[in-house]
Amino acid sequence: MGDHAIHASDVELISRITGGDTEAFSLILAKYKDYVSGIVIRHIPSNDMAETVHEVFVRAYLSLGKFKATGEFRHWLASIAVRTCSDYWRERYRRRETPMGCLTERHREWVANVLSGQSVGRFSETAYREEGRELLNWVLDRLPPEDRMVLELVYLQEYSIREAASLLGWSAANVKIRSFRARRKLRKLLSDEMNRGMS
Amino acid sequence: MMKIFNPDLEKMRTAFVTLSRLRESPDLDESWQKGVMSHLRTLERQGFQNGSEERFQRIAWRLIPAACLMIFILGFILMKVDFFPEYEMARQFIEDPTGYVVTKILGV
Repeated sequence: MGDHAIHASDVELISRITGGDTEAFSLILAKYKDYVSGIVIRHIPSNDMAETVHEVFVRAYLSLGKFKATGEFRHWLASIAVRTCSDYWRERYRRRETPMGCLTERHREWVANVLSGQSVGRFSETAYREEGRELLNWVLDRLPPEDRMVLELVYLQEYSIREAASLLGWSAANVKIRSFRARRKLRKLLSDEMNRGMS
Repeated sequence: MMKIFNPDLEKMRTAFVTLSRLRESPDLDESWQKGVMSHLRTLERQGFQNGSEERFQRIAWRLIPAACLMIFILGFILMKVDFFPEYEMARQFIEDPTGYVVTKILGV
């Protein structure tokens, strides 16, 4: 009942906005900015987050006419957020802004810790988390933007293939194949880098 | 040689999932919201131009099949009536040389 009420008020707000009342969009912003930033922060570096969330809401505003009241507005907004993040990485990849450095000894130790099961309880340490994040970013930066998005959605955020397909606007088969290939690339990247450190 | 196997990858995944969940999004303040609304108002002011351009494009794309059909019909008619531009020009030159030269000069 509560969800239905929220959904109904969204539809009402959208019809006001599409009818010319742009100011009503501020209510959508206030209601969903945390939800959208929660999605965006899982894909985009923190320093570009505010700008990307801004872009998500502008895109949503421009596409409001295409929103079908039969669907859920939240999900529709989530798919715009995910596609905006995907476009962000495509643009970065096109401009080749990916860092070219290698993993350090600390990162290799981090992997070794995780593989030996010694990382349990260490995630409360800020430095340990930072090293892990650097490693994760290092790996993701070396994947094509499509693989990166699929890996993040299916592998890290544990969305089902169908949910990820719906968010990305791809077919389920495409997501399945991409996810399999991305996983293989991830394994190869980590193996190669660990071996480089040992040689 | 070290190789990462599926169980290892699963351990890495679990660690990465934990890291991913621990990420907190920075708060978007009032000034951020004002910035978005100001951007939208600018877009709204430009909306009339964008709207008319979009409408024109929509109509233009709809007219393309009709234009193709028209070209096809005209081509068919020209073939049927045995119209050859070179022959017509030669005929005009022989029948009315002055008129032909004037037409050429005027670029008609």
